[in-house]
Amino acid sequence: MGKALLVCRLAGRDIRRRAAESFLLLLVIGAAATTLSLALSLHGVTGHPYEQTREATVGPDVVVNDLSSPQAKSLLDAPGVTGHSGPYPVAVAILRARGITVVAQAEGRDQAPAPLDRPKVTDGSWVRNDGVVVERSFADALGVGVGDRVTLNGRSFRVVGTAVTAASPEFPQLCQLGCFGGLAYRSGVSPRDTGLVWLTVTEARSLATSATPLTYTLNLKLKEPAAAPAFVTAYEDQPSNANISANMNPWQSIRNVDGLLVADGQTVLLVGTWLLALLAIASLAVLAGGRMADQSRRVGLLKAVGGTPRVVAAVLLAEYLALALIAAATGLVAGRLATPLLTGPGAGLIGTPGAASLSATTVELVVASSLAAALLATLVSTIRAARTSTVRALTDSARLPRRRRSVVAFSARLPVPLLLGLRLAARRPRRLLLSAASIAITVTMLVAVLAFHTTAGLKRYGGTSGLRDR
Amino acid sequence: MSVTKHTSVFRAVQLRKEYGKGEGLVRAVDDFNLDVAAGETLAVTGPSGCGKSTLLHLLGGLDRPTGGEVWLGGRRIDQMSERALARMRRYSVGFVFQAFHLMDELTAVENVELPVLLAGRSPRAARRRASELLEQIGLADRARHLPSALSGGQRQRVAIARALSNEPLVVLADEPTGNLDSSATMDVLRLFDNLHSVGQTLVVATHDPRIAATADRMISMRDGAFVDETRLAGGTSGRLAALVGLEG
Repeated sequence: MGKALLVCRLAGRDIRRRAAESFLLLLVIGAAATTLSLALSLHGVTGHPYEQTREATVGPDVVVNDLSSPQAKSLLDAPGVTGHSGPYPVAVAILRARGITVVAQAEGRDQAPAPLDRPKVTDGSWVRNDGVVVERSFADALGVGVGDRVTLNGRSFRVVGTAVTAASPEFPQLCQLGCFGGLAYRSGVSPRDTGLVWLTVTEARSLATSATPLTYTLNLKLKEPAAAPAFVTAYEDQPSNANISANMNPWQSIRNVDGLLVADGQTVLLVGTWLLALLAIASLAVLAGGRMADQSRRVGLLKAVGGTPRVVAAVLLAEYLALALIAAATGLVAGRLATPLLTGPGAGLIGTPGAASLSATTVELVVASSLAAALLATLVSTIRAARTSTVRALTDSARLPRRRRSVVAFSARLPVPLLLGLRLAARRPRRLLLSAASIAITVTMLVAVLAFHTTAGLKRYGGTSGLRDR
Repeated sequence: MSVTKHTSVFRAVQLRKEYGKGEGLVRAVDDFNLDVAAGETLAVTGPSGCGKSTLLHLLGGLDRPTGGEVWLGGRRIDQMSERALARMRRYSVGFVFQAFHLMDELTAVENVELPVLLAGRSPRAARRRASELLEQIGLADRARHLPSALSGGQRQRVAIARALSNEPLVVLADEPTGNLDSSATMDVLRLFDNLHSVGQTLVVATHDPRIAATADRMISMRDGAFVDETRLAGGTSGRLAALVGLEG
């Protein structure tokens, strides 16, 4: 009890006495803990907005796109199918708005609500003559809203509403599950810049050309929605269906595409966590090394009054472990608060992501990793301090510098500032190595962040920047 | 641990401490033999660099000798493990240093209770013992002050209280008044006088002959070797201040 009090007291007081250094240590471990906490918390939260959208829009279990003919009797009669909507005509058209040229899948819809896939109007109203409804994430990317005008294959339409659907991925992921890219290539547009609009059936039909004939979309409801992937596989594997040209997607695939960016974020965060953990270890080792040198007299005194090497090590380690614990707690809270920023549902979905899963495993992993990082980084310095001769520690005598003939000979030819710098650096090769590692990891992280930023931009906008920036 | 008066507390046999090798070899302590009786105050004198501090470090188990033997309370300590040495220092030896060596971040009372807590006593018992000692050295009102808020003399008195906190067999003081002015030196010497009168074994390394004169016995060193020994009666004379010439 007495020893525990002593260890805590000495650790606590030293943290307070060296507040700036302690804050730096806290920052380094805290950053790694936050990233890890974020990566772990993101797991499994991305499906919630899609599911809310699916419920609100009576989302289909299977979407069949690119049907070449409205005749889809074999699909409607397939075992397990309990309902459907469509087939709806879809024309692929060039859409121009605000000086931007993209490709639109123009889906013809009745004005009456469909039994399956009823896009939820988030602004304005549903389709009517000369009026189009633009899928919300597509509208956001184009920068258009209700009242604006767009052209489809040269015909002008008024935007009468924006809506969301669970039957197709949000922009610019629409073509992730396959779509017709011929028109896009011919028009010099990236097929990834393809979005979804709804208009009346008559107007959708009128947009078809010989080069881009109408296709059809059919929405199916299954007896067992969870078995949708198996239904698709079973249907496609039937030899009798080989002549039916269609692109079938279970709702789970659409959900996964909608969560793609978050999943990428999770991967990046996990990689980032590793890098940050390495950075934390290297920075901690440098900081702890310097700090231990300052603590030499303290170590000597503890030993002189009867502290065993184990007690001395406990006192020194307690400080770093306490900081690691505080950093882990901070990281967990920060991670939890930051998770919604990364799991925002996006304009193509409604609802909010589920609560970040701050499970006991996440807490244990973050705490254990923080403690391990602190332990790894400070163990060598601590053992060295605990084993130092008491007299040497008390007198706080500086360690003799290592003289390396090669360094001396080489540096002799350098200008004096460089000569001194090189020789000073060579005195502490371990610290030099760790500092170099810290810088290397930091640069790696910066490059990784920039690369991810570019990749995310490509994925999100199908190009190097958003549509509105072009 | 109690040792009957006139039995040997410390014994050094052909003690040697060498640094370096070849032409750079330095014999800091050279074939030194010593016996310190229980309750005795021994002054080790000599010029700076003669090996006084090294001898004290070897006697107190802070450093390991190159050769020879060190016995404390009937146990040979020069071959002990680092852990056993630490425990021995905790219970049997109290150190007083010229530079005080107090923990800057701990208050006076916390500094004094540090060895008691290390000994595994409860926090309450440790605080009680530390408060008693601070009362004895007249610093009860300074108990909650940090060392930076104390004068040099007060810091050294706190260091002495800390050295006494586990009732050690022997107190080793290395130039305890080296950083103090006359008044503070007198305070420290009075404390040592009190310790002497209650039978505390005391070994003081000093290059100041006036301080050495307060001891029962004085040994002189030069270049790490024993030079001579003088029996004195100053420490128990009751005329300490006059003897050391620090008061009129």
